[in-house]
Amino acid sequence: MNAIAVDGLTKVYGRDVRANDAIDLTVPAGALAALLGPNGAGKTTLVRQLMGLLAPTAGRISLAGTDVIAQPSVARELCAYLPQRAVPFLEATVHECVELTARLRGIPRGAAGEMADDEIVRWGLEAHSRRRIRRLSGGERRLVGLAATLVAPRPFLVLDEPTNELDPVNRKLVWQRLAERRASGATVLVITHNVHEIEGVVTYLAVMLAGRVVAEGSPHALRERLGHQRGRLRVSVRGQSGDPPADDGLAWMPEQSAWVGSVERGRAEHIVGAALRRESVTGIRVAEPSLEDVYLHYVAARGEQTEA
Amino acid sequence: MDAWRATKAPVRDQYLAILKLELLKVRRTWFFHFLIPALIALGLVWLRSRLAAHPIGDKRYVAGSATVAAIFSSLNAVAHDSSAAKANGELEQLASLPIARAPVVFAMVTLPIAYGVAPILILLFVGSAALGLSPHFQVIGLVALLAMQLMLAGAGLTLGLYFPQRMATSLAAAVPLFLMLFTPILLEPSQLPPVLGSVGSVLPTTLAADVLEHALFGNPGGAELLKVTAVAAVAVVALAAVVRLPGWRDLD
Repeated sequence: MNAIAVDGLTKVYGRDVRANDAIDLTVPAGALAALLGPNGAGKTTLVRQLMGLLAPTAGRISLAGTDVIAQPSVARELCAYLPQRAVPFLEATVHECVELTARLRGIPRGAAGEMADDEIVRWGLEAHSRRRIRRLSGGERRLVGLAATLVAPRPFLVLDEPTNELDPVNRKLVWQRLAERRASGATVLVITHNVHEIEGVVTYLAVMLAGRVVAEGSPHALRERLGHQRGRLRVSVRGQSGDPPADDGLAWMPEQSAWVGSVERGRAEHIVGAALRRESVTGIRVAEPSLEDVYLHYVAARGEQTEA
Repeated sequence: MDAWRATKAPVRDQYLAILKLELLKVRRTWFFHFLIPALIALGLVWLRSRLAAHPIGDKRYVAGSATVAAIFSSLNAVAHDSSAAKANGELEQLASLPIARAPVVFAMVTLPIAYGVAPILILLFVGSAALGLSPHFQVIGLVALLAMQLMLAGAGLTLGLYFPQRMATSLAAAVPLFLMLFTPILLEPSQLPPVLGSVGSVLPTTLAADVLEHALFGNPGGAELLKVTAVAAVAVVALAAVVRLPGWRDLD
């Protein structure tokens, strides 16, 4: 069953700015899905329409089988939404913000207070519970926003760049908490442009470029699709990585004592041969493409299309 | 989906929760809603006490100054606050929650009205004393005051939600203050060009100033009752308009 289904969704700002251009997207129920794309790809516009905050120019959106455009209140009742900007209730304390959000989701006062306490502890904010949000750092405010989003569980979570401004430990905590929510039955849709973070975490992925969804599917399916065309080559070298193993125009990435690159299968023989001729090369391994390879492949393909 | 049963707060609870969020802002906004309107209105009365007799008369001058204070504390301050709430993402955060628009609107106008009344009352009594007048309290005066505040707060909220940019909101909110100089709030209609005098006489702010003047310093009659009803009607229309105005969420 598809939890979120978007069909021909188009949003035009002004006369000719097509932020979303006939988008088709389906997110399966119970997925931890990522909407990946560069800045300005139209990701935020898409989820703001999903939440009923923006009216589409054309197209349909359904949430758990209900038409959101005909019944927009469904989106607010079923979804918890974390906007891109940090939590705005600057004069409230952390506890007040989280508790009031729970109350606005219909939780009675006493239970809302308990839920807020629990959520604050889960995000490691208990020391700041009685502090005003205005006095917190950007990252701490982001955590408050996450606590307010996850308080009073909803069946859908929609989060716009939830790990912005967070340190690595808290980024990990975000994905861990979202995976927990998914395990308890929620469908999670996360907007991000950070491809490294979602590796091994998401169960569904959609790539957005210039207002269109150019690829979607499970990470495995997307890797496999790309794997027919490209492979990930890891060339180990003696000592420090030094120069790239082949002067072939590839975007090689240095790792500790190795170079990693996404290689077109047709050119693999030439590249491997060139690498093997180097004395410093100690091993070559082929792996399936990473999500970064998948993403970069579509970005490059889009670039070629635009040039053509 | 059954296990999740989406919950929704009763409208009264929605209103109280949002009002609490508004109350928390008092420490940041009190000078804008309270101090500046009070100082401006008291300044007007002080100015009057230093000048020769004003042709409009002291009673009208005090009531008119109170109306000026109301425009500052309600229209301007609410336009400014709502525009700020829109700019900093507060409205978007609220709009994403399962709440109706009406409690948000009413919570956003309640507070300015509550603390906008204080400077007006200070003005009415301090101003009256400074000019040697003896005001007396009448219910119709309080009704006129509240209806005027509601009407102006509704108009301020409409401006704040309608204009996408804060600068545009500030400019639009400043216009009524400027136009007020050309209406019979602090001037006699005869002192204005005939068209402005006639049009200005039926503006709700002028009607409210009329009622305040008679309620504080005279015996209000049927005409004042009619005027206060008109001001209340405009207040209802202003609030009904802002509840339906786009700019908060597109799909409601």
